[in-house]
Amino acid sequence: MVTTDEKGPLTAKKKSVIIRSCDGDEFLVSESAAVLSTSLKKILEEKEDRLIHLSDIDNKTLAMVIAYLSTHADDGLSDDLKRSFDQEFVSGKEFDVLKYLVLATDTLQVTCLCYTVAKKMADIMKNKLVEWVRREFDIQNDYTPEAEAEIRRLDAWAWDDRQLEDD
Amino acid sequence: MRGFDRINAVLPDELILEIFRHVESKPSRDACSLVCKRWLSLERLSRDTIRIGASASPGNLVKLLSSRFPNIRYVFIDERLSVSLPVQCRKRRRHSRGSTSSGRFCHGSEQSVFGDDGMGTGCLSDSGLATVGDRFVKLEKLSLIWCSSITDVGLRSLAEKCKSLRSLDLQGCYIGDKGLAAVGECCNFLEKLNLRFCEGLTDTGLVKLAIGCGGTLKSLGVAACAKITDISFEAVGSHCRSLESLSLDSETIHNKGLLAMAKGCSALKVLKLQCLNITDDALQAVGIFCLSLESLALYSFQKFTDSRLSELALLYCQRIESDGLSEIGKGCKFLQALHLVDCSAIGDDSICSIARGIGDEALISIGQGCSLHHLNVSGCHQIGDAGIIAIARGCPQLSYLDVSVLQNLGDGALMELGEGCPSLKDVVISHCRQITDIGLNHLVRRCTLMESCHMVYCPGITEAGVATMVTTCTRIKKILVEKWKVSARTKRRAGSIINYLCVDL
Repeated sequence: MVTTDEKGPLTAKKKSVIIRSCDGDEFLVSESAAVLSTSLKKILEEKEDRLIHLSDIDNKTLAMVIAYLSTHADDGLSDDLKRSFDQEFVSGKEFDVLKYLVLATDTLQVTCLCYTVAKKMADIMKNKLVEWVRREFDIQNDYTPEAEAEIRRLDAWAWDDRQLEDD
Repeated sequence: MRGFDRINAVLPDELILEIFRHVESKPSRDACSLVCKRWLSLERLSRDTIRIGASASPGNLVKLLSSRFPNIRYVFIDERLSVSLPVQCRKRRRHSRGSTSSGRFCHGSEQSVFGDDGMGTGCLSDSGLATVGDRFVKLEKLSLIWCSSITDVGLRSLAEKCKSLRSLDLQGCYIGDKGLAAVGECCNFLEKLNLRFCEGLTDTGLVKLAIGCGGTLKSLGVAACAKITDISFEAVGSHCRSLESLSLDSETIHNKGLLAMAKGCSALKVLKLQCLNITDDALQAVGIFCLSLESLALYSFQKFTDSRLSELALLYCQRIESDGLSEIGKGCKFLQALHLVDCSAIGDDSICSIARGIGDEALISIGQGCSLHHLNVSGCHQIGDAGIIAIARGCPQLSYLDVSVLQNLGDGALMELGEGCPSLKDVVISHCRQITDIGLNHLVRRCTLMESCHMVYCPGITEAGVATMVTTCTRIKKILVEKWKVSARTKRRAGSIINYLCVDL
């Protein structure tokens, strides 16, 4: 299956590449969009092959990254529009989706999106209990109860920031 | 998702650090460090801010924290806030296992450790400050709020170490000229400096600072420094060419100093002045030279003139005259917020002029009404219907209006506001004795976006008026009114949003 991005026929005329997800689906992406990813750019510089296989990014995540890249490669959009797209892009996304997205942006080296997603994740993590964080990241608690209690004690060295505002 | 289910194993350190970078509050940071051992070590590496209070024995705490967090860049030490955490004791107990000398601190009550950093006080000492300098060499931002024990010696040793300091807040510290001179000499990237309530400073120190690092300085705060005079601000004018923000509260600064500052600091954007000895002449200079000015706050002034304001706060300026405001009305096309509280000499003429001036400007330049969004004229007794009607006609975007205590304001003004200002959200009409249900009804019929209304001590407003407001304004979130004016039916409909100033009123 070949899925074109939203500007299908227009970009097809330009140079384009096919990116295959770990699920086996293929996405047609304009080269101008693909090279916004530092990793893809390197791959394209190194080999003539127009088919890139990404073994650790699934369909859903790859489609999101490609939508982002295509929007940012669109010269017709103002920077302001792109910024508001970025905000829109991460808003409302589940934490679970974001953590795979952030991983994909890291693999593909899409720095701007990586920052945006990381920021959004941090926003969600604000004022969450440690148990919540462990659950969402699926992390095993490797502390002994004594060690955990000790860290809690050490961390209590200052007052609660939430009562304070700098400047 | 397929492929992996333990995301922690595939998340690289850099990504986790990037997420931590955006987690700012200490409780959230602490939660991250508790997740697992790997996150603990990453969090310790990435923490860049610490805040320390008074009774936490800052000297010792700095040592402890610096060994725990190697990349601290922002340190806040505020001795006005006392923190008494029992954990402090436990931490020491743990700490003291290997050191018999401090063992004696552990046996007493939890309170026994407070204020005991070996110096007998809970204040940051010069040696504590030197430790800050030694341990936190990457320091960019340091706040020492009311740290009464530090002196020039400590400040110098810090300045010599922390050369990349960008922001320094010395509010309420009794430091002197030598310390400030050292900062000027060593901290060549300093952008922000707060010297409010540094009562020990004189011109010698501030002049040396301006010469030393004035070129990078963007923000300066000075208050209650009785020995800082015009000489300092002449130096600021000559050396601090990038200054964008100045907050000055002084009885010793005259026109001469402010004039020199205004001439030199043409990039100034924010100016807050509370200076008894400054008059219109100096402010005219500000208007002429500081063309980037966006915000001007004047406290205790007689006269003023300026032209590129977006926000103007005139609080308790009993002697401000109408003519001054007329000038602002003619020239301030950027004015968006106006706060005039207790300026009893301001009359209708000047308010008319503001509304007219801005309205015209706006019509010519952007073709849509005036940009005044906030207006607070509480207690400006001479303002009546005519002034507020002019605002209603000239400021269609008005969203906040405080006209409380205007004895001459009547229903006519409220009707016009209803016609002219459909965006009104917050209205304060308390203590307006002339206003009745008639005016209020007109207002609420048109201003359906209304979210809050204060209307206590308005004898003309009755149960019926309150009921109409509750029914008409569907977005209303808060009403302040006497309890007896709320009918049982209104209470059923909107009991939760109605606040009573006093039950017995």
